[in-house]
Amino acid sequence: MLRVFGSVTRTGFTAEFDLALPLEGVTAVLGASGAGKSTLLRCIAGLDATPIEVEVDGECWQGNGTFVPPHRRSVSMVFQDGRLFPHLTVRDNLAFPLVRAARAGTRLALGDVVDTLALAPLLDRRPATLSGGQRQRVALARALLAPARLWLLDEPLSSLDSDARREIAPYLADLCRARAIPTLYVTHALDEVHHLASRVLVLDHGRVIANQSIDDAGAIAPLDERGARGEVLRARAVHYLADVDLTELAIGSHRLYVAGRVADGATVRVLVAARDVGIALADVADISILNRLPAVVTALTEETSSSCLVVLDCDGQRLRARITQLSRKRLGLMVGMPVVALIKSVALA
Amino acid sequence: MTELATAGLVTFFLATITTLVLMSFAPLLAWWLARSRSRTQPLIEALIALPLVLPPTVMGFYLLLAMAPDGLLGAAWMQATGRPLAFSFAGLVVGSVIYSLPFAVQPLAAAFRSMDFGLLDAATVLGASPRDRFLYLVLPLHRRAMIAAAALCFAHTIGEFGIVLMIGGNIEGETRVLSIALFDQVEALRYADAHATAAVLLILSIVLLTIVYTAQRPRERT
Repeated sequence: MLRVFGSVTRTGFTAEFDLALPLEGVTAVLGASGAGKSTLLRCIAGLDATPIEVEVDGECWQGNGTFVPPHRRSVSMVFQDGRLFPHLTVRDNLAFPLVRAARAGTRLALGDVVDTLALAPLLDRRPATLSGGQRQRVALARALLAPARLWLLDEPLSSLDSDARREIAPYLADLCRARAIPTLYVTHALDEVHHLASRVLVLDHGRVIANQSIDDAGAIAPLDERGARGEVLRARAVHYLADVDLTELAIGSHRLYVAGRVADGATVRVLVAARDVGIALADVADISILNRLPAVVTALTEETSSSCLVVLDCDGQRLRARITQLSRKRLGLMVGMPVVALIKSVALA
Repeated sequence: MTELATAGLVTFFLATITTLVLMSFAPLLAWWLARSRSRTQPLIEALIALPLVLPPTVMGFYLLLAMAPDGLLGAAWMQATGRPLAFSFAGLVVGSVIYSLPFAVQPLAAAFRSMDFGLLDAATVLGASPRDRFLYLVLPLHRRAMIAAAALCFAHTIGEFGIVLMIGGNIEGETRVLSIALFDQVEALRYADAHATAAVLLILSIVLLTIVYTAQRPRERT
């Protein structure tokens, strides 16, 4: 169990944490910029001297007069910008935590991590000669080589372009699964962590506003600021259509199609972003969109002068659609109206 | 040995020892100045910078008082070695270290202040203690600033005049450095010798400053 309790005020910002988290799996830490995500991670790592109490598995790291110095805490952290040491080669960067761990009596081997992250060809190069994706891969490897009971990832992919992100994401996913070290994964992009996380922590203005298992998906909906505001539906795989490489999923009595193969009978989570959902008053048959779910409008919220968010209920599961104010007027949408949700794209979570 | 060679050797030893002494503690002091949020930090920084603004004669005067056999430094030195500190080579080293201190500390502190502190956090979470971070991250990252600071100390010590005159006097083979020798030669109207001495000092200074500015040039991206 990880417990973080107390408050800290920096210029113009107050964080007030009261948090208990089981130390297992990946916990996604979400929230807008300035919500206190990095403050929380830095506080756990002990990088800022704060009066906040931190307790890991019953062991007090700070608070009540104790302060375990950050370099003695069993955490490893990956930063957004990699932070490789520019004067050292990749090999020496990787050796940095190893040497220190060995002094503290822990022996770890380089070879494993180098293989997993395919770093062998980069070992003798200097950070300045690496691409953004390569640099972040080295940073990940380096963090893996520090003995840690807790892994803190502070937006590890957000400084990368989408190609580099695609290059690293699978490694990161494998590592999170294979290492089984409890991880706090800070991100802006829900879809980045969704398939990894078993838990979600949502911060807003320095407070924890949600801390729950990810299946209870409602919590995730209000957070994303980049338009990926969405919902998670639980569905059951019915059967795989081999000829078109689609799997048919069942949500209650309705059908949904996702690309690729899912084993029959498996329960999956499907992420549907609000921007990918359109609304029709009646089912439209002659349309390319396959996923059309009957639903009932349960709420309408104005977002801006031009867009609004429509909350839908689909056989007991929630969906959100972002549509224009003009469409809302033309369709005459009101709470309680039966509609059809047209879902442009779905992703397995 | 000629007069010029003797003065040159004294100058060289003085500058070398002063530089070694300074570089043994100036980086740590500069690091403290760059990182400290203590209220005494501005005062300490001002004290270190004093030799930049005070006339060397003022520094020399106070040092002379301190180094006198009944002065604080002089008495302690006398007790330890049985010899007076004023008008000795050791006294010159003490004076030079104080006089050249800002030339070692200021460029290092400036370099440290502009360092990417994020790297320190990265090293910390990888298990590096503060001492470890200083030795294996801060110092190697600032190798060039260290070279520049050392060269500047060396050059500045060679160019010292007023303070040497006040606390060292003019003893051949002990405290007569090149700048003092030059003064003597001009006083005695020995212009040919003065030309030689002045040229040595001029060329040495140009060489050292070139080293300083080469080391401080922005690094090429490789």
